Amino acid sequence: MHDDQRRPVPTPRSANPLAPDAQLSPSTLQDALTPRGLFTNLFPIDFSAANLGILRQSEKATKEDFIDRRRPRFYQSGETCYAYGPGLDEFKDARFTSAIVTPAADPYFALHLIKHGLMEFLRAAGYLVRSRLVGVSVYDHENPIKSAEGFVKILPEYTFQTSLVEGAQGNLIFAISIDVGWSIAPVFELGPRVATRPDLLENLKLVLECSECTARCPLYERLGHIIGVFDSFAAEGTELTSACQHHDYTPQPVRIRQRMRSSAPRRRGGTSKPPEERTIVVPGQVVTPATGQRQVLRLSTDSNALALAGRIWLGDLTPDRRVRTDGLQVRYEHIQRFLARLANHETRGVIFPTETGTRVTLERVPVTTEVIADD
Amino acid sequence: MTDDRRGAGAGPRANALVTRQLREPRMQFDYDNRHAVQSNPFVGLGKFGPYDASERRRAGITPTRIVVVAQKEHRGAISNLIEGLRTIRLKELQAVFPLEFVDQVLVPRTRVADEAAAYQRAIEEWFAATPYQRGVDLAIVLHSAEPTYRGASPYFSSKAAFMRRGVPTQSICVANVANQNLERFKSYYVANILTACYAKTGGVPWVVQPGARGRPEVTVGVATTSVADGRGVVQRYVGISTIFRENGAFALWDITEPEQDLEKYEAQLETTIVRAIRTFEQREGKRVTRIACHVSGKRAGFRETDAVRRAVEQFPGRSIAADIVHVSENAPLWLLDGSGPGLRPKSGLLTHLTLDGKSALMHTEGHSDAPGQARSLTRPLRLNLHSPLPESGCEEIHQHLYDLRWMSWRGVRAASGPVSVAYPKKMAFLLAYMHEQADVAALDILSQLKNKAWFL
Repeated sequence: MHDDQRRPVPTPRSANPLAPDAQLSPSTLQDALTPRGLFTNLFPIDFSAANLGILRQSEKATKEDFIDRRRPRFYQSGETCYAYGPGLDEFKDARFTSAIVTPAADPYFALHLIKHGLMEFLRAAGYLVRSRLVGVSVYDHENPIKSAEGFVKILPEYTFQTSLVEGAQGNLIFAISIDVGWSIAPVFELGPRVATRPDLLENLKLVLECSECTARCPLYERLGHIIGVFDSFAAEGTELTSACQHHDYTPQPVRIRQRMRSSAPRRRGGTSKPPEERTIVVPGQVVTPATGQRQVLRLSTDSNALALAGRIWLGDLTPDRRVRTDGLQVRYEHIQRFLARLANHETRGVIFPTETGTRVTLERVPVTTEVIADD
Repeated sequence: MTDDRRGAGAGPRANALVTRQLREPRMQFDYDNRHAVQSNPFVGLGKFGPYDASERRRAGITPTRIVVVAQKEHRGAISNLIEGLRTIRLKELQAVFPLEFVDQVLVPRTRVADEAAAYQRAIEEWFAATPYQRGVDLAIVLHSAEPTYRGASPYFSSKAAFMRRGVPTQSICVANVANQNLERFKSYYVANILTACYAKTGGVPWVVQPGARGRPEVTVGVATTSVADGRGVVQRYVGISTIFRENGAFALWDITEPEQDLEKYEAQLETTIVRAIRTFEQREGKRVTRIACHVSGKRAGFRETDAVRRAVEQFPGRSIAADIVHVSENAPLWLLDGSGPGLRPKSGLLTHLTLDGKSALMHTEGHSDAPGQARSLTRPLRLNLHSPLPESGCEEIHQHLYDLRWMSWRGVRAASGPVSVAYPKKMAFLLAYMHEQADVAALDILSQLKNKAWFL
């Protein structure tokens, strides 16, 4: 990774003088942000300008032509290749010309810009952000719902997904759906705090789960599989075996013992050589305990209690484990409170820039729907 | 119109989406009685009996022979169960579906971790104890609630053990038939259990009232699951399909062989659809003009689309319309009602995400009108049509999907999604377990269960 692309580690949001979840009263939410009729958890996107901002386009070049370039960014949309973002000024390629593109002219490119603009905005705000196959997951690790033994936490998780829907008169509506859930995570995924108790993680089988892993990484072939067992925490700054692009966390280097299978075929009747071992170092943030690990169960002996806390927080259950009838309302209030924090508790929407320089606003009043009578 | 600030007759606002209210279907019970139509299966089964009641009466009613499996210390629960199931809750159904409890398999008490194996062993010993074929139609298995087990559970192990002998099972949580819960069991559980047992033994409890416009004669529910070998490495794709008749009744199920790759899965799916059409035409004596293919689990891709296209091409000189719908249960979208209790909207609201309805959001469960009957939240279904838009639009496709949620015979209430999605999913769940237990072959050899909803 080039140094000019490395982002500073976000500062903790505890510096924000406004305490989370405390600024909007439920009645204010109910009155101002809850439509009276039917509505969705889709929140409209408003473009500040009529076009998508500064970019160039070419129909002669393709994104693959620039696979080795890191700046500017490229996006392929059918026959058209767009170049945009940091480094566009220095980018000299005669095949590209400056262009004015409206969101409606290439809506999926507009959604791409919105998604990445939002990710940058959330990272800059200090949240742990994960790009998913569809959408973006944001973990509110500063405000856990509950923790157990200091090693397992249950975190609020907000999922943002860009959407393009068609309004009643055939008009395009750019929107982001926001859903809320919870996620149980061992703390060592999120930082160095667990480094004081490595004994609890001894021999824990670990699975590589890196959302940004590419074929360039020497561990790419083990993605999604067990890569070894936990050995110890390594000192900060230890060289990593993997090529993880740690945009949004300070790597917590973890030593992992890996068994290497012999490539030589086993001879009939002969004894096989014992498997060789090697130690690799990867950021603790990209490994998770393998399913069914007894150690994990030991770590989270009250995992049922954690899950219960998650369901209560989400509004599925009451504290005495009864099904809640107003679960949707609880979810919606969580979403609105989170949006309020993103908007710095002002009455406006959430404003963030895209990499093309244009500003977009994520509105806090959701997309409504209206029932039409059948003929 | 939900917004009372707008004048009457005004169209929807440009920035609002369009929503339609789907109709609740009515169900047909005893088919010999044209008045046997009801919108509530509990009332319908009690008043008219099942759809095939007349057929049963003509053939002569014979008791369904049941074996009960439970741990030794739960002998009292077995007595309660028998007493409970003999309580008259669905009078006309029970008149044509008498139960005979022929034997009990008592499982020795073990540690919780060994319970699954103990159940399996006891069942196998029971089958091996006599040289003749055990004449049972159904097994009822009592065990602790699922969260008790962290690994293998008696639910799966006993289902697999009985399946190898062609006997469907009905699991019941032992706590539900404890002395203190017996009245509750009789009031709320018996009707559901009897309905499921009736379907598992090949009965047809009810169907959707015929006569709806544009309903496909054959509906194929398709799901795929990937299974791994013991090392958790190799993935193999297994296609699962369940076939439903025009009236929504379950007809038969099929799976592809687990060692098949995706190419073969596509060919197998094509064969399944062709077989379903031919079977329907032979049985009903009329030609198929429209089929529906509901794909869940994985996104409907070119493989499903190609398989359906090639399947209908095998009927030259005819035009068979095919609706291919991907049904997603994991879309992160919700529909809320600012005027409803707890923002929960009514069931049956369908929101168009595109104006033509090819992409839509179907809300299948609403707030309950009965106090104290809260049901957990269910995500709306995201529907995507992957075939050409029919001339009449998507309305009939959506209504058909909505109707199918009433066709789950796991109980007398509507399911949260259409059976064309729920049944393949349930099969995939069981298949994954059986693969883990090296029991996949059990599924293939059971030709006698092909038209029974054993997986309910």
